[in-house]
Amino acid sequence: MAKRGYPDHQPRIPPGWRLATVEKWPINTMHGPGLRPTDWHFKTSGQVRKPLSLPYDEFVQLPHITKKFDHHCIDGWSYLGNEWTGVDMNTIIEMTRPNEGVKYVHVEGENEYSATLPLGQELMLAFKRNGEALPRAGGWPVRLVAPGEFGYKSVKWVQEVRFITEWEEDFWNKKLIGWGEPPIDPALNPWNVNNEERKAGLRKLFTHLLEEKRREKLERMRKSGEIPA
Amino acid sequence: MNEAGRPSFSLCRTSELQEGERRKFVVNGNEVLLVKIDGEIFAVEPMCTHDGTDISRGKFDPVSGIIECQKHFARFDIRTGIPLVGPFGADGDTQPPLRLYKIRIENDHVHLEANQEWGVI
Repeated sequence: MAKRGYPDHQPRIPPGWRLATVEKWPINTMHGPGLRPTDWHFKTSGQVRKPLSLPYDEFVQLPHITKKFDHHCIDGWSYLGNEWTGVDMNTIIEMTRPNEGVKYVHVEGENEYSATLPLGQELMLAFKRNGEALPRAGGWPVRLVAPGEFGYKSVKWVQEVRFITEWEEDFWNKKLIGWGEPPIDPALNPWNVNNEERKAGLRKLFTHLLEEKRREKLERMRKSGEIPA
Repeated sequence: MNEAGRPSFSLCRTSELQEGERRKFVVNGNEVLLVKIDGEIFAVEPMCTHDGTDISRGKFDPVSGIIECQKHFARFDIRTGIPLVGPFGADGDTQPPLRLYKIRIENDHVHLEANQEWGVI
């Protein structure tokens, strides 16, 4: 059966979403452009028999696949038909051998960004998009691609995958959003989105983030003496 | 001082501001963008409510009063602050409106009121 996030899923666009009005790959970097890792290693940790630590050159030599997935940002835009190349999470699972009882992966990026996802869900650790290495703002060296999820689960600048037995709140759950589980019949709305809750949640989120930015800016100006302390 | 006896900040002469012109000021750490549309002056905080980008240099249509953020292309009506389009063409109502500042025109000067709803002015 076709799954949401894939090009053959219908409806291809979640209700209320619009196609991105740009030709270039839309890159939304609300949680920063990412650091510039000089000693990046892909690591696994947590409940595993064999923790991994692979430098970039070794990571991209792992068996990898190329697949097309659509991208749907929670902001309400979609960008269709991205061709991703990367390592299937199942390959990592075979290498790192999680212990019995592991139910989730907690994928950690930079600036404390993270996503928790169920073990067994299709996930790709992508290092190329449309045949080209990712740009830094697009998640270089490696980003997660989580088809069927909204974009905020696709962690950029992946550092580590931690295998865990209990659900752990991720960055989005903890810091950013307050909308509840959407109470919509999936048969009627396969995307399972309550748009009013989504929009109210985003407005709340943006208001909160802007307040933080204003506070930071004022603090910087006070420190630099531009305005009185 | 305004009528309530509170201080206000003189920003510029109204005649200095040309039709369709944008001019940014910083008052006590608050950024204020003045624009003149059809002879009327509006004051907004030039901060895209999607991610905080300074939109004072975004694409601006002085006839419609619509300003577009240069980063993710959200659009706002600068006269009301209302978001019309969200990032990359998404619905505008996912975002809060731009902040509007209260101004007063007196003796050919634009004064920013000190008793703003927002910020530390």
